Amino acid sequence: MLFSTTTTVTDAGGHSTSATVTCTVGSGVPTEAEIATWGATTTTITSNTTYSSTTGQTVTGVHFDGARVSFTGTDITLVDCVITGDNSASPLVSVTNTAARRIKLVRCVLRPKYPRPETDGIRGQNFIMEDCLIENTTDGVSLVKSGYTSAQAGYATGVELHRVVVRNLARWTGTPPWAGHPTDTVTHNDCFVQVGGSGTVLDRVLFDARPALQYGHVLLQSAAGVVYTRAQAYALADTAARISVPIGSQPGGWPVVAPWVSNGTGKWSTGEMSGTDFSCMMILSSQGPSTDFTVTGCEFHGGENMINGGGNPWVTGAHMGTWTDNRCDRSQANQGSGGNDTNTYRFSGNWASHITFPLTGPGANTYLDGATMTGVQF
Amino acid sequence: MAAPVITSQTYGKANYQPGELMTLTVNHTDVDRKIVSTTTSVTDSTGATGVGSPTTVVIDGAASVTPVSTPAVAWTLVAATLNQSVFTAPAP
Repeated sequence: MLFSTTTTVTDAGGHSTSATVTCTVGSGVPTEAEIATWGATTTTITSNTTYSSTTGQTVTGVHFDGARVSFTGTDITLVDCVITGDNSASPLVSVTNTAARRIKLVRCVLRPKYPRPETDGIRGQNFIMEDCLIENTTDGVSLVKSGYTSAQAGYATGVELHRVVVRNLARWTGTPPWAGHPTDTVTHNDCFVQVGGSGTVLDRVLFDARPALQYGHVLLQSAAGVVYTRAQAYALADTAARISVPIGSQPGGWPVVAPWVSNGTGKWSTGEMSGTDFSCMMILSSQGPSTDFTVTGCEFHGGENMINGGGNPWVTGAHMGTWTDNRCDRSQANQGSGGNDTNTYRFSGNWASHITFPLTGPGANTYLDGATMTGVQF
Repeated sequence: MAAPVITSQTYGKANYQPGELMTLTVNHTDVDRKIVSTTTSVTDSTGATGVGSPTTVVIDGAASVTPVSTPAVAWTLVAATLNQSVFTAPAP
């Protein structure tokens, strides 16, 4: 809820002036009611579509049904569109062409029509998303610079996510090497992954790195072997046993392996299904250090390590940016001492004096209930 | 005479939870404000002088600082100087 205050200052002579300031009460992240209004479509396109030719073009209300969108131009905006992707390994939305700049998606929904273990939501750089939903993908947002050379280390990503929701990541299994992973038997899912660059803005995003239930290769059943409906699976009690259908039991032989590793807590709320290797944010450095984030007002759920910066060690002169007013749950699979010592923010190396990250006081990053976090590692 | 100026107005943070105590800080100035300081001295017939403590009076100072919010809350003034007023209220 937006909360605004107009203050009037009046002097002794009766002269006055006013100013207004706004903040949010509540989490500030999108509500289900708000999400339900995104992607209202009026036109359907069923072929692959590349938007390239018209600088300044705005596309409103299109359902890309079985089609993906690849940008090769500048200043292009999609509003209230639904993008489901084609039956290929490509992401639903590509901003990887070096000519694609200042791409903007507003109130769009990215949800695959053809479930595949390679399918990511959006990939590239130089894009802004406002009020968008990504779900049922392997990774949600993948920040990578096409044609990167080491001379470009520290490049500006040009990426801003405002009130973006990434959730219900699709867990897949396979025998390596396979489409889902070169060496592992399960997909490694990230709501957001950045491999280098600086200046990314995450503003009131909601990243939920718990696996989608009854989707991909996660299919729960009762102790009696009855497969749950999706609604039943999500309605299970916190302490209810999460039982996967047997290995090889489904058409085509999936799940190839157990689709997740129990962390021993036996509770959904403490990350029973959030491993192996899910994350809300995976921060890497294969394209130079990832630095200078602005992450504020965000909400994070799940993940093995919730914010996994282990692959982005501090380098001289680097700053991780400003992280304030973020909140998270305790459903990380990696529980330091079990139950209430969760691996939340894990940065690598010597970031402690090179990050603005309050744990108490104004701007504090906390658990959802306001408690001071544990398991933060710089 | 000129109107006062609000130089900045900030909440303590960008997001509050319902019931959490919010802080609103308003910084303001008034170009017409005059602060007059008077020091009185008394000299007797011998030339000896006594100097009193200075007194200060503010001319055309800010008479009121009034925040009004949507949705409405009851702001309480918890600290005030000539140029700054700090209010608190529970978030709605």
